[in-house]
Amino acid sequence: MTKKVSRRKAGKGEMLPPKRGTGGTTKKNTEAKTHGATRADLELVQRFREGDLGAFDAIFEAYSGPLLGFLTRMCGNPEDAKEGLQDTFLSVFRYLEGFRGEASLKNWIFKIAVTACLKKKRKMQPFPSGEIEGGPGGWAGPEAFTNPLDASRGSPEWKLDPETLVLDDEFRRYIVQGVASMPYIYKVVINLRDFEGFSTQEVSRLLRLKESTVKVRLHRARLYLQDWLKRRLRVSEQGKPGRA
Amino acid sequence: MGTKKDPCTKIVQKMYLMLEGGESGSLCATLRIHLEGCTSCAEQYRVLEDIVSLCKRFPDEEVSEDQKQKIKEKLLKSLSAT
Repeated sequence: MTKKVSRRKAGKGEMLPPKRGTGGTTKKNTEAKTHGATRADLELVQRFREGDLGAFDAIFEAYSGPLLGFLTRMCGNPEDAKEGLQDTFLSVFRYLEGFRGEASLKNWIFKIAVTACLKKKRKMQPFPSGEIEGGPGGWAGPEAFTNPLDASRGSPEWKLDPETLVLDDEFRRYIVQGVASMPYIYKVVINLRDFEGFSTQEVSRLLRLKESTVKVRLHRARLYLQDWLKRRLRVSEQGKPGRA
Repeated sequence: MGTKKDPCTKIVQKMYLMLEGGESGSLCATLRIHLEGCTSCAEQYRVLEDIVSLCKRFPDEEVSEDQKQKIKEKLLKSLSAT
């Protein structure tokens, strides 16, 4: 198969990459989707098997952005994320011949990315491990609660709604740092469920966890992120970035 | 009944049931009743909704054309070699 790819010089752009938000293979649109491959997935894979370089391009273009985002939030380090992206695609194209369509192409590719992260974790131990209870310092109760996104925090830029906040580079950096700082078992869940749009059932299948476990870990991860943002924004307002 | 903190902490721990949507059991009804009467838990719930919304709207990372080209070249080289 791979020899075909290298020998056949199919032109680039023979097939456009799947459009974002329209197919079953892109981010944030997988709720209530089937677990098996879509017809578009199967056709794309078939074209790749036949040595169509356009299919190679289409897969790469469709998934490189989401995968790099996922890997950056997993690693917390752009260089490791880029390395992970390369490793992931290498495995994707190496094993695509064996893709059986039991899962969607997106799920199958992200499963490979998760495995790449696990390998990296075992090799380098860059990920914090262990359990979290509510947040970095534990859930201190509603009396201690302050809204990280609240206008009363005093910093004008944080008065904005989530839709606007994600456009802010600094805020996005805080979020990436916050997710990356979580223990692996939590960040992989929030990354797949909330950031990449997989359903709870899909995350459960992908990670081979009970759905109840996914829900509990997801909730703890969200509380952790909330607490992280609260601390970061407070520090930011005091003009002492980095001292969370 | 315990202190005020205890029931609220339990409520926060179960908020995911409502955040996930589609839950209509008695536990969710209990949660809703609590949120209606507890401003701090209601605020906590609203912030968690915001956090989820932030994550869902988070944009993908941009892969530069240069980076794409480098990776593609390595991939094609590796695939050709196998």
